[in-house]
Amino acid sequence: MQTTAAPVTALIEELAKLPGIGPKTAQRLTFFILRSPADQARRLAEAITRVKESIIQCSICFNITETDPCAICANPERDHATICVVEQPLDVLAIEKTGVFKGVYHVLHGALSPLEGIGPRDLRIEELVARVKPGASGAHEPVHEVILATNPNYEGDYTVAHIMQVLAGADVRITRLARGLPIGGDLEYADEGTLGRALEGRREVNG
Amino acid sequence: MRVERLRLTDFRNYAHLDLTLPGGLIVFTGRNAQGKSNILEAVTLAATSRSFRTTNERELVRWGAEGHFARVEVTAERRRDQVQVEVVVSDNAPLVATGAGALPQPPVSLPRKRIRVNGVARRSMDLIGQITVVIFSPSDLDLVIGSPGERRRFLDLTLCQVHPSYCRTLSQYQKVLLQRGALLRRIRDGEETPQALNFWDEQLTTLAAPIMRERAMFLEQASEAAARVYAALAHDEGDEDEDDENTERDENDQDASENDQVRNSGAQTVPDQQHQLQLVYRPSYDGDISGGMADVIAGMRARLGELRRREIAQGANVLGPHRDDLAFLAGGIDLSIYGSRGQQRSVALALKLAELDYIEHETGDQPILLLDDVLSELDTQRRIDLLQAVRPLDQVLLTTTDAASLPSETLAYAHRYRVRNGGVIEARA
Repeated sequence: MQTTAAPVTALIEELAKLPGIGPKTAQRLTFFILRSPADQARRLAEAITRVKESIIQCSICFNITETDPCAICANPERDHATICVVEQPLDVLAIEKTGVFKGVYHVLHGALSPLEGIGPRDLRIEELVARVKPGASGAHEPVHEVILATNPNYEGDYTVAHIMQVLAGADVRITRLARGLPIGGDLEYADEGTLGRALEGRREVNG
Repeated sequence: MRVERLRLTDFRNYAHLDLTLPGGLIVFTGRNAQGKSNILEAVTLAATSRSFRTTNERELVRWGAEGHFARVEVTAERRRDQVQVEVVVSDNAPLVATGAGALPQPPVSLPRKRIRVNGVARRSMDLIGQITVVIFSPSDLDLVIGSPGERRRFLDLTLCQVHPSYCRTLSQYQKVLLQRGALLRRIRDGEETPQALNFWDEQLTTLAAPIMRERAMFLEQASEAAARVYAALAHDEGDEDEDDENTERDENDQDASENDQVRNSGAQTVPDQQHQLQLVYRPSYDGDISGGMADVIAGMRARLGELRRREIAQGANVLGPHRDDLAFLAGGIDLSIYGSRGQQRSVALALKLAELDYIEHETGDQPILLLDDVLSELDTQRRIDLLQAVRPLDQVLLTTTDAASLPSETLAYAHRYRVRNGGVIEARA
């Protein structure tokens, strides 16, 4: 029978709860930390604690941030009339990396999924409506376009359908991301769903 | 097509097996529990990624196998080319010892099945259709007398082998059903508004229409072949000595006592020759499905609208292909209720041979026919008829405990293998 000191077991258990980390990796990480200098371990522990203590959600876009409003919402260079709606903070990172988008974001923190018990009230949907359809005061800049950038699956599509419904009547252009073929891909290997969507979303090239 | 080579490692009772097979009729003989059916099961696993005998794939790994996995490798000769399929099933053994103070146990989410086609890793959805099989075993009687779920599974497995798009649509449909069912319950419990159903109604009907269409087309095509096989199998039914099977039928027959005398003289209450077997599709949506896809979708959406209150009250999806059924009629009489056991066996067999016909017609390649211990269930004449019917096929793998149950004429051309305790030897050149 194998016995291990309780603190070691505890760390393995905690690490194994992380996404993408299995029991083997958790063991390997634990023994790496055991062997590493004390201050390195302390820095890791502090970084973990700090991220929980100092990170808040932006009161405008609900992205994760250290300051409120977040750096993107506070940036006068960004186009505040264009809101890109995403499911998760990670999606903001992905879109920022493209360097193509100059507008601002709205993070829903999930997608509607009856199966997981996630309804409209569990997401930041009311807050989105408030941003797009400001009250009679009309205090802030009007929004011209809402880009719905949810994931291309049933939950994402359902979320889009719901947002379209609650934004009905608002004087705003609503768009969603195109679906289709990956760059560098091969038609032959595209599944028919993707290829079908790509055909539907084809574009004029001659004018 | 045919299986050219079958290699097993720690699969069921085979530690190692490397078998090269010819085409034509292959007969595996041996006593019970020697591993005859395991061979057919291995071929099915390579064709469909699933076992036809169990849903617990742990059972596939040989008891005490050191590697905690079972491997099946099949090389099949197809009409135009060759394909190699490898399926590895792991039995999820714990990685570390258990006990007080031991390291934490892994969650049971290790990859349980690995599939390769021509050496390239694939999902099971992409495996289906590479090697096609039709399997017939005694439990297929349930296709006729069992629950509608058995018949839907049959429809789905057949169509998935032939049309990859059917398989994809079906798996999307199942996702939609789960979400929609959960939503119905949330609406019932006042957590969401019925309006939220509009989106899911559209998804459900858009996916349901092609599924119903494919099922209807398959049954329309298969009906003719099934009727032909059934007529051939049933031609001598009237001469048979009816035994206790009649008593079973009487329970369903209201005026049984009046007919007793007629029946005892050997006459049939359910006619065979006069009436063709018909496979009748019974979709849960009873509107017209023969029109354009858009019309079917619109019609079904309207029906969902009518059913909405009931669906919410029940908290369940009540309309769609997941509630479909299939009926077997002869002269307007439902054989799954009023047929004799012998007739019902003939229906199951006719259905399977019609499936083979359909797959060959659609794919241009003939599936491998697997007959698992079915001879013992058939009377002498049906046995001869069956063996006659399958004689021209590319490859038939048949298991039996009793080689003597095969007519000597069949034994003359069959390739025989003796299975004993996890070993297979060719009986005679």
